[in-house]
Amino acid sequence: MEKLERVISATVFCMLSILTLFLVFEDYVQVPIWLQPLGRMHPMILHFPIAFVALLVLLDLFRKQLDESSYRKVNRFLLWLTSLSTIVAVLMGFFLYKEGYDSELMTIHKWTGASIAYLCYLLLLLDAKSWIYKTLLYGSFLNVIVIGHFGAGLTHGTEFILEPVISKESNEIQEETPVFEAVIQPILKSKCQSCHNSEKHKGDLDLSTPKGIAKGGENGLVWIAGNPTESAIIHRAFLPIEDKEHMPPKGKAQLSNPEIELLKVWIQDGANQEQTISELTKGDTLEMLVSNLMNKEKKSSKPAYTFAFADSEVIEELNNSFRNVIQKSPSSPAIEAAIYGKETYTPDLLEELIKVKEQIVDLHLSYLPIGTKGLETISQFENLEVLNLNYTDVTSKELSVLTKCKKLRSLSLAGTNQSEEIEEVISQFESLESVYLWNTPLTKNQVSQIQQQMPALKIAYGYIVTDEEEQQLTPPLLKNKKQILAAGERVQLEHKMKGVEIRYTTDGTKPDSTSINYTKPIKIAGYTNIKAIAYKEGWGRSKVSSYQIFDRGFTPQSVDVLTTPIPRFKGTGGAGLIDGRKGSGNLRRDEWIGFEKDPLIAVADFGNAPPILDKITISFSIVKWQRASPPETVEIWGGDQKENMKLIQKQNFDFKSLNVSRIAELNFDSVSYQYYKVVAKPISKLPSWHMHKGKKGRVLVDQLFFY
Amino acid sequence: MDKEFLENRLNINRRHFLGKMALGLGSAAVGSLMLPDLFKGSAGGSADLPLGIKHFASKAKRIIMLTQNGAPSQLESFDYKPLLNKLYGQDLPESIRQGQRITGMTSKQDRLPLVGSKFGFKQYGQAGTWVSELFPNIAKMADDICVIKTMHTEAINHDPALTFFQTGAQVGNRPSMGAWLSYGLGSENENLPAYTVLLSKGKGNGQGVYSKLWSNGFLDSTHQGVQFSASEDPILYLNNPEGTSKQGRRKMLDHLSEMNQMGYEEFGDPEIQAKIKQYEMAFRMQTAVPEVTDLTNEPDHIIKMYGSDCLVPGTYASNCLLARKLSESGVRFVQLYHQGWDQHNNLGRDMPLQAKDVDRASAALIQDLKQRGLLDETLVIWGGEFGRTNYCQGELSENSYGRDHHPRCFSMWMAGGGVKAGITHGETDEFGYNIIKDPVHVHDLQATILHLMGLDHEKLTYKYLGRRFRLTDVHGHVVKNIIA
Repeated sequence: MEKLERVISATVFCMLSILTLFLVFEDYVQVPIWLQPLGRMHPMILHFPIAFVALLVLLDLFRKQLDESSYRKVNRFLLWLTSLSTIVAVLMGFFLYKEGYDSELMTIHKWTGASIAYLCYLLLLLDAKSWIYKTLLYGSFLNVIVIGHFGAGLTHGTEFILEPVISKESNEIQEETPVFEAVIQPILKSKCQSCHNSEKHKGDLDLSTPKGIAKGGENGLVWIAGNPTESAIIHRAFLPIEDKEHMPPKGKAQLSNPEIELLKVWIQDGANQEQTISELTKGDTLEMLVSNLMNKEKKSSKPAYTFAFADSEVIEELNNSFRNVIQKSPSSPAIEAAIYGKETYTPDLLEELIKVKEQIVDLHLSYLPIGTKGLETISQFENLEVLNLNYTDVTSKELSVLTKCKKLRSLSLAGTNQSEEIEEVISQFESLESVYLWNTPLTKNQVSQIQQQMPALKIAYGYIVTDEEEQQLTPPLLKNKKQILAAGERVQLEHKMKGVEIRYTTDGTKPDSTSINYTKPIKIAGYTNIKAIAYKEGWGRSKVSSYQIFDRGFTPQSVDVLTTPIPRFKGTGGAGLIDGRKGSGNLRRDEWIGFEKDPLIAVADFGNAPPILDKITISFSIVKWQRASPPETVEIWGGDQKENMKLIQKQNFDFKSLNVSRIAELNFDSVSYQYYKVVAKPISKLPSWHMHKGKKGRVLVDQLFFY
Repeated sequence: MDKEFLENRLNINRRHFLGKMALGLGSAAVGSLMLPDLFKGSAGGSADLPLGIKHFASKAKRIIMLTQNGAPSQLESFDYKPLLNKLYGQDLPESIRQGQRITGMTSKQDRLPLVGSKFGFKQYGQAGTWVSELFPNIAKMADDICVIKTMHTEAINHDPALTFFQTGAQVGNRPSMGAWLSYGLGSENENLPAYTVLLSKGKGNGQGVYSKLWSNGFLDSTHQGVQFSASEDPILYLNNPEGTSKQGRRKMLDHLSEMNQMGYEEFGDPEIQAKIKQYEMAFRMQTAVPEVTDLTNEPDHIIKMYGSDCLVPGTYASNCLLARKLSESGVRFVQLYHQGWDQHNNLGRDMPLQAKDVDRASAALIQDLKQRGLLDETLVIWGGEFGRTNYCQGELSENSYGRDHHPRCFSMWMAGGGVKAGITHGETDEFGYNIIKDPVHVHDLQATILHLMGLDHEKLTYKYLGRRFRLTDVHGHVVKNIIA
């Protein structure tokens, strides 16, 4: 044990000697780079001496509670540790100091720090019972506190501890404040000065004072007036963040884009440290950037709400299916409220909001019939800032009651019935920033007059389309749900826009402004192709819309299909041919029944009292890649017995002429039979222009019509 | 049967007990370690906040998301790359591609020839935002929008990419963004769904949209997106069946809800409560929906603004107009999908058609919200699920070229709702292939959207299958630079 003590004592002594040497020949000492990490461990190691000295004091305070020998042993042991850790910490501190700290604070810290190393060694030599020991011990303890404080000041800044408590000196920025002080210095302060200040000047650079800036650092000047790209501060900010030269270094708060932009422009403009904000030329880039920034600050410095929080139970009660009441955030007492549903609105929905009248800052009541009474209720919301009354029934006169809402910032009145009086009413609002007057009876002139009276007010009058190109109307639409009309149903056309004139034809010709004007539903017979076009003043005429409509005609009691359809296009048998459903573009759906090898042979049964017919129409599909094509020939047979029917009509069809209508119509002299047989033969060889030329066609039918 | 019921209850109690225990002891201990501010009190601790309250005050109250399904090319819309016109027909350098995987549609192509935009670009607005000639109306709104040129995503095919965009995961079992918002903030107007979906088909090559994109995932099914269709009944089965009177319906619902309540007391299944709420909302919607979806009272100049096709149900323009009306009526999240942006071939022919479909109406929507004083509180988002390649897919000729899927960069824009107006965020390289500055990952965008709505994406969680889920999974950073 004694041996160890001797070794430690000798070590400490040696190190103390080295320290002495360092201190004396400070200016000649240069810390090699490999020792620098050791120096940087100073902030970590220094906690040991602090703790040990404190422990020594504690031990001294409680020495009466301990028996003499153990006190001595522990005390002795602690003393070794203290002196050893102290001298190590101090040496490390010295290395760190040589990295470039130089300030008054540093000098104090250096000398007090060094003194504690000597003091601790002295304690080791003294008898623990002597009054000198005690005095020195308590002295050391006080010393340690002082050193620690100065040291912390070096790393965190001198105001670190009290910073949250001390109210920030409010540097009111005014027109006469130099631009440098108003916007440039704050950037340097927040992003650069933690390393480049008067206490700690890395790279021999101090950015906290104009003098320090003018002096520059070991790498030269901070900026070159008028030449931002050559200025070190801009150059380094633009280097990739991995680059060693990049500033602020990786891990520290970086300059934001707007900040770099501001620095750039300021340097470009000559880096004038005296120029005040008012001296800037209105409209130049720097002026705009600065005023932007200032406005933002003004906004962000808006005072927080001072009124009390509303009872959360009250808020909850106020929420129902038609009314939404919500606190802006957990930390803000302000409340946003909205009422919805014109049909379901009752005045108490608004009146009940009185319970939170102090807290409401934002209120939406658009489309509601709120009336004069409603406005009176609103006028009690003293802290109201945003009010949306779009499409309500309020008039200009009634609005004046709202001037009681002294904090009203934004008032939306789009779609309301405002008159000239609004100008006077608006002028009475104290803090109104924007008003929305779009879609009111006010003319553009009236609005610009109001704007002239109140230039600071933001008036939204809306956007009127001023396109040179005339906009085209959309084509008329078919209102009937199905292409096949039920018995007695008529064709209804419609256009969703008001005031549109619809002209139409029923003979397949292109309609124009001289065609029939659509005024009432159209009665049709058989298959009709209706083409319609829309006109309206101020709009370009629409494209032509074309609808194929079928009259339902006579429906047989049943239809039997006698031949076998293609398995993929089975349809729903004979019933499907008279079910009144038109097939869609998707041939795989069961509206379609298809034939290839056999012709379609269908027998319709009209029962005992057959109607008189003179036309049968077959509706089929054309899809090239599926080979769906018109029938080559269609035969119509008729008779009162199934087995005994005679040919009524036979017709050949040409592919191309049916390409559009996709129906085959067979007219014949009026007859009246119980049974009719329709035979539709597929094309035996598709024509040469067809993608499947030479192959057999398929007849895909969705519906048969009997007229 | 009684036995099962009894056991069910016991089970619930045991589970509750164990759950409470774990929560009480375990989470207090672990939670305090892992969430340093757990015991800090109310200031920062929104971990135990009730739902329906914003985590912090925000400007945006509602969102209208104009999803351009199929991925519109950034190179023909907002990301101007003249270099590609100069290098027309040359191969994409390996130094730029950097091993990016490409889809099966172009991976077998022996060359990847670069191709520039066929359409001209100009700068618009005070901000000098670059916009192509395909979007003349959106260009006019340059000072109101914030273009993000550096979106990037993880998926390279439509379905996973779109699912990722909407739900934060490529597999489709998570709640969609709208569902999360409905869950986090609740409904503003309980007579309408908090989350509605509107679909429209474009003229170009379309890609499917499925209801999983507006799914509530594991959240309560009241948060599911409700699709409004273009037919006469915008919401299917909403109207009373023929022969049922309103009073009759009311009576039936009252009895039904009593019975459901009994069922709930018996089993404690929260889905029963959800069901009751849904029936009630449907009843109220019978009045509210016709009021909102009626576009006939819109004045002529509004129709001109959106384009005349806004009166034809099922068009993009009509959906934009409807979106404004829904949003105006307090619908928290209106989701549009416009199909047809998948220009693998003949982009030169199809993209103008697509652009024409959406340009006027998208710009009109911003304009319309603006003049009503609603733009400040409504966030409008426009964009697709990924970008398109700077090289040509298929035959490259003077007039015709196509572009394949590209996940590394694409452009979007946002407007209103607390987003900076008139800025362009981020920068891509000269080839329009990689991001060189300020990337915005899909998760970042999601985090930002939630932030704009007053929600902390790290705190909006739902515990399911033993872990807490978020829209942004374990990723996402709020893009502060675009927030006003």
